[in-house]
Amino acid sequence: MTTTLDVRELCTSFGAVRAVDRVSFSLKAGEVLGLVGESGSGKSVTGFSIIRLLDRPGRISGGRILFQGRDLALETDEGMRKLRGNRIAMIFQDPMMTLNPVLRIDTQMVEAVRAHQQVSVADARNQARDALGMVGIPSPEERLAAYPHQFSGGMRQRVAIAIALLHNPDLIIADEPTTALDVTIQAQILSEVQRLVRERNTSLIWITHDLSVVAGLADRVAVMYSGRIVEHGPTDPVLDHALHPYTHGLIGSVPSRNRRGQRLTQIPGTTMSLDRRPAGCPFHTRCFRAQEICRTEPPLVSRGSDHTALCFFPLAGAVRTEALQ
Amino acid sequence: MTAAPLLAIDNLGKTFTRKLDAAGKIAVRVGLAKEPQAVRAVHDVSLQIAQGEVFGLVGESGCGKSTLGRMIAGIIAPSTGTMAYKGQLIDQLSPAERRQRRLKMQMIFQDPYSSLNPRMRVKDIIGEAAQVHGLVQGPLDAFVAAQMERAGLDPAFRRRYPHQFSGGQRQRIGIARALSVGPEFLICDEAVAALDVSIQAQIINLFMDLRDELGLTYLFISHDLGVVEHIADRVAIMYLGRIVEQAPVEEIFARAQHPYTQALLSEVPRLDARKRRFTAVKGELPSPLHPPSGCHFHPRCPLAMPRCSVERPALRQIAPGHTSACHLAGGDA
Repeated sequence: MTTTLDVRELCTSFGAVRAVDRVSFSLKAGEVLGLVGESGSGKSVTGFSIIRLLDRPGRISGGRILFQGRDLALETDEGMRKLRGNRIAMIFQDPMMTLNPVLRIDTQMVEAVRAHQQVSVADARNQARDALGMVGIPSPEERLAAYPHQFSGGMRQRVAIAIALLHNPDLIIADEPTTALDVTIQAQILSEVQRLVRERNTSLIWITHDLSVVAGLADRVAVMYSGRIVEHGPTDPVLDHALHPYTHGLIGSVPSRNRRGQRLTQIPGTTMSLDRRPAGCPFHTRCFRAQEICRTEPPLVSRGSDHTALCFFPLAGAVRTEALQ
Repeated sequence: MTAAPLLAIDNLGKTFTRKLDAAGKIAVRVGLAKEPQAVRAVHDVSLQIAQGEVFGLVGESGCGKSTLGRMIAGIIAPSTGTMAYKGQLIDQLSPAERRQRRLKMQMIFQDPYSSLNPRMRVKDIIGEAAQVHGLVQGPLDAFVAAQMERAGLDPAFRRRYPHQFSGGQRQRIGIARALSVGPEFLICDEAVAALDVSIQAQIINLFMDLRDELGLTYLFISHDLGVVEHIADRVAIMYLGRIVEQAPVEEIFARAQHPYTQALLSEVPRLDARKRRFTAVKGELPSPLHPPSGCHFHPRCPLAMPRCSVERPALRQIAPGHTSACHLAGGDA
């Protein structure tokens, strides 16, 4: 499998505040990465950095984003415009961020098709109709003439996904696209996305706060806290044998069947705002294993070849990676 | 549950109709316009909640669960049906008694941002209601401090405003406010839905501690089956204004009968369900303006029969404490 995306030591800053701090991960073709974190952890900013949609004063202040070998951090605005919506697409939490409320769906979709392909309006419209049918919108021909407000929330998200898929992108970044939806609608969207990604061998970054969604969808998981990826690895080992105390606490916080009525594991305190981030491991102020040394930069530890965490005192048999190098 | 229930509601319903202005009324009178459409948000709901119980009310958006919660809290008046609290019908209470009764039932809202007055200090938010009702003995400051501590807030912050707190802390302020008047019954309307997972766990733990400490009874309204499963003793599932299934929590998660409940359960993402294939019930919630005939769920139901589109199934007991509204239930289908 070829590598679609290779992010190395990415840093994104808003003025003096580093919202994304030395984030590295890579994604092969057809792979699904779950990027998990709580609000303010930098998971969305990571997504926006990759597709270069940062609002000022946000800017990429370091690192590389290699997409099929090209460094997106250095790409010109014009070059990004050619990639965006074509090779890289994004799905937002609120589909109204994708859709223009005063234009009909066909107007918007035809424009999106013709932005990257030289085809006639009629051909573009046909492509748009096929895309709507593919994401499970009934009677797509008629729905093309509708306005966004005539769709329900779930249907609107399907339209947004159809637009993201128009050019068969190599990478899709999905930022909490099912968070605002009901359970049955969320399941419908997840099943469509899962099928489409598998059929087309598209790489997918699924940004979410919900570990349970990631468990069902992702090949790999990266857990973010305070701008850093604190744990990263294949889904099963990360969820079954978490190395980082934060991941461990997050998993314990999820209410589930086998612990009915018992107290949930509680991570004390609240997330630090980024401008008051403590030195060293950002989690040490809330961590039950923290010691004095945690005020300094934590080492990268690993178990197996693929499962890593940033921690002085990881939970289950990890070894320091630095010692191996 | 042999004792009389703390709360019993019987055939409660709520119909919302658009209010017409004078011109509109005349237009209807002379036949130029039709009567405005009515939405039956809640339809013939009966349930009983015992003292000390946590009752989970589950449903998707628009199913009427919040409307039901608000009727129980006394915020909106029901259109039909009766409610009895400790065996006393609410309609028959005097206004003064009704005011007292309302104090015993407090509500905690979903959005900790819009349910707190941004221009009031925390000490006023928490202390005002108790003071108005004459429940404060001793200095107000000490009373507020005690309330804050019980909800896990540092009393030193009592002169602050809501915007100076995080989402989880605001939800604690809402809880402290609700508890300040000494309620027996808490209605939590999606009270943890807006919170991050780790904060959600803190608040759920707080609810469970308070239940033990103060002997509270809860109506816990949520769309999140995982949370309800964790905290509730009994669960009712609502769909388009009606309760379709009701059972003790173990029973409903082990032997759900109604196809809608089954669909909901199978679609909840779980930590232990890895790389699964998501299968989905078809379609979306129909508009409550034009509910489907017969069983409201039949257009989406994988097991629908011709009878389902004609005849509305009644809630029937299928096991002790377990009722379901489905023609397939009970073997006489």
